[in-house]
Amino acid sequence: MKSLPAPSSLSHAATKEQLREAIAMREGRTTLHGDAHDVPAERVPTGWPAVDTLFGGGLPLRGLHEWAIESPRSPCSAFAPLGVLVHLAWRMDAWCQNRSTATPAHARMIVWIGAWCWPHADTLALGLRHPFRELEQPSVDNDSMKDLGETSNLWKRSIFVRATSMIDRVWCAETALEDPSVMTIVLDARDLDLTASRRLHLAVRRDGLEPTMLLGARTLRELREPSAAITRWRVSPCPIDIHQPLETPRWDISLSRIKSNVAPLGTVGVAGAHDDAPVASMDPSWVWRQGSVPS
Amino acid sequence: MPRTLAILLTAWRTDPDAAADADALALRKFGRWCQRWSPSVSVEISAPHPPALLLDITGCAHLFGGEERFLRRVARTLRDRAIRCAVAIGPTPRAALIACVPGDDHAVHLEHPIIPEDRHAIHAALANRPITALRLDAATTEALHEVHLHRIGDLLVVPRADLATRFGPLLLRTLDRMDGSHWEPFQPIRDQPPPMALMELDGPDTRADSFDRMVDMVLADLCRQLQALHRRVREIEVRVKRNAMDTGVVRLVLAGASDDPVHLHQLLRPQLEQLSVGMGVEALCIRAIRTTRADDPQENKTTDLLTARLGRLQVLRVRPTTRWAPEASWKLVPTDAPAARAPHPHPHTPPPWRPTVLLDRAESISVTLVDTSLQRLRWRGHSMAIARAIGPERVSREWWSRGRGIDATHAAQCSRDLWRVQTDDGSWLLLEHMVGMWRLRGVWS
Repeated sequence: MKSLPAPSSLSHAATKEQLREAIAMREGRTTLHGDAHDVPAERVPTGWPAVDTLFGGGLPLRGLHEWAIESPRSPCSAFAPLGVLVHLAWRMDAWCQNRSTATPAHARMIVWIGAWCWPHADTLALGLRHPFRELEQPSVDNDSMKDLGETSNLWKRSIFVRATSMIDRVWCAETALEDPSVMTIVLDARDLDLTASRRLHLAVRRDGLEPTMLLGARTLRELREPSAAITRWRVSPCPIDIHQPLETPRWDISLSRIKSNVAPLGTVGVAGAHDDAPVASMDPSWVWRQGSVPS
Repeated sequence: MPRTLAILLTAWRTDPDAAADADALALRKFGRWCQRWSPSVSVEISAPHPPALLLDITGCAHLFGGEERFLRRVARTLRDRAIRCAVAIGPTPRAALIACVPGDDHAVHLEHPIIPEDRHAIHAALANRPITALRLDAATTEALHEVHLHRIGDLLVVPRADLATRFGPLLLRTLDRMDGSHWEPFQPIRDQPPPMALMELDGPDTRADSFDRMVDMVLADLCRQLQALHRRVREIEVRVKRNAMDTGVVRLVLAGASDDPVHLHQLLRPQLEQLSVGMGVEALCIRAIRTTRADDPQENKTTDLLTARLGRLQVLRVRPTTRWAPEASWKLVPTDAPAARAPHPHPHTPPPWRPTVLLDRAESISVTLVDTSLQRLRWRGHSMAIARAIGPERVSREWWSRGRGIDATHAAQCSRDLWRVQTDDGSWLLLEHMVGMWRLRGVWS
């Protein structure tokens, strides 16, 4: 009786590749395979050179990204990293302006799920400019930002959902993901277990959906918990530099985990005090006064 | 005794290019607005005479302090809104309408005439009014003028048989309607009843799937009616007649209008599941309480789905206010609230800085000052050195709201200073200082 030949390492790899392809086809995912780094094709430029370079153009969509504040010397770690999340919401809005979708870009909504991650509405009400535009590198500040006109007010398109239980928050996120007019979902992802995060991850990858950015805000302690998020980020206040004339809040961000080994694990994109180009900063001139005239 | 208040719109100009329906629609809208004074309002249109509104105020006048004060109030309200009109009260709609037209002896004409109920008094009060006030057809009016009958008083002395023979029965009927001898029909504005769908069963049904199917069918019926009327529903009421129990009522307010039965059922399902059907359902009635036109822009359905599950006050939008204070400059409102106007940027003041997170309730902190400069702060047990402090930004009560129950002294006490500070670890905080007390208001997180 002839015995079957032992698979060589090459044929073993090919089989794995075929299996991966078959699973991807069955799950309806079209973008997984074929990409060298196993990352979905749609990417939103963040305006942060290190991050955009790392991901080949921007933060990948169709996946959950988790963010947490790391600030051991102050109680700020109890808050959601809203400065960065608001920045990404604006970036997603700018990216949508250049895409032709079923829902016009000016009608696409942002859903803030959980009162813990509701930003102050001033950060969503800008007259003409993107809040971080002046501080981004000219090379990555692409023309898409020029399309942000007066009508691009995120506050008009923001829905704030007060949901306390994790079950409700996940249900809200899943419901919002099914809506093609939702472009960004910012979720209070505290207490989000592995099963729930996997549900969200699969929901955002479902075929036929409009590209949606799914951002989760967590506490630093929870970043060690298992999760299906494709990236996990730490946000910390930028160390003070008295020689820096810019009197704006600045943060350092570091990538603490990434799925699928797209890059070596570790800290990337650290800037601020160590670099002339801040990763994320707020410019005082972008917030404009509202409601000064009595009606 | 019946009493009628007439509002004669003397300055109404009909646009010949516009459709006659537009005029009628505008008058009906104005009539609905006048229902604040009486529930029964009728529109009187007879071209080429100016249109009028007739209000049946029987039993209403005492609510406004009597007829005289009521009439003055109506006249003042309309005048304040730049509506040029004449008003009068009479025992019949026709008498009130005629009394709005001034007589030929202007010197004795009252500004707001009130006609008594007596028949002879009506004749006496309206005798000096011109024939045109009767709103007859042009041929009859011309014929009356040919025989030198110019005033209503002239007609009243002519034998009735002669008037009927020469000018027809319409003239006599109008005179009879004026003094109440002949009843005049009054057709008040009635809104169309809201679309409603109903299903009654022969007997109580306790099965959940039957009830679900029942809701499906009734909603489909309701949506068919709405589509026929080119309307969409904004608010619906579901009444479930239960066996051996009181009627269960469920209300649903939608953020965006809809005429999709599947979507409506999806929104109603959580509330209907909580409704105990007890010994069975006997009947189901769904009414569209509030509807909008079908061509109005639609809101997305996600908002409704979220609202249906979490409640109306849990799904919110922001709306700008006219307040300066950071915690009051925006207001959270339910998604079904009317759309907000865009805020106006202030032309002179430099834009202030606002944090990404504003605390619901400001937290007390202790701040160490050395020679009026901020050195350290202690917040939630953490002591931090202050590296930078930018301020103060004086925030006080807005000048346009100071008059509302607050005096200048109190307003001065309400003012506070905002400081933006950076701690030694790089965090930025928003502090407020008010009468020796420091509090933390927000964080750039």
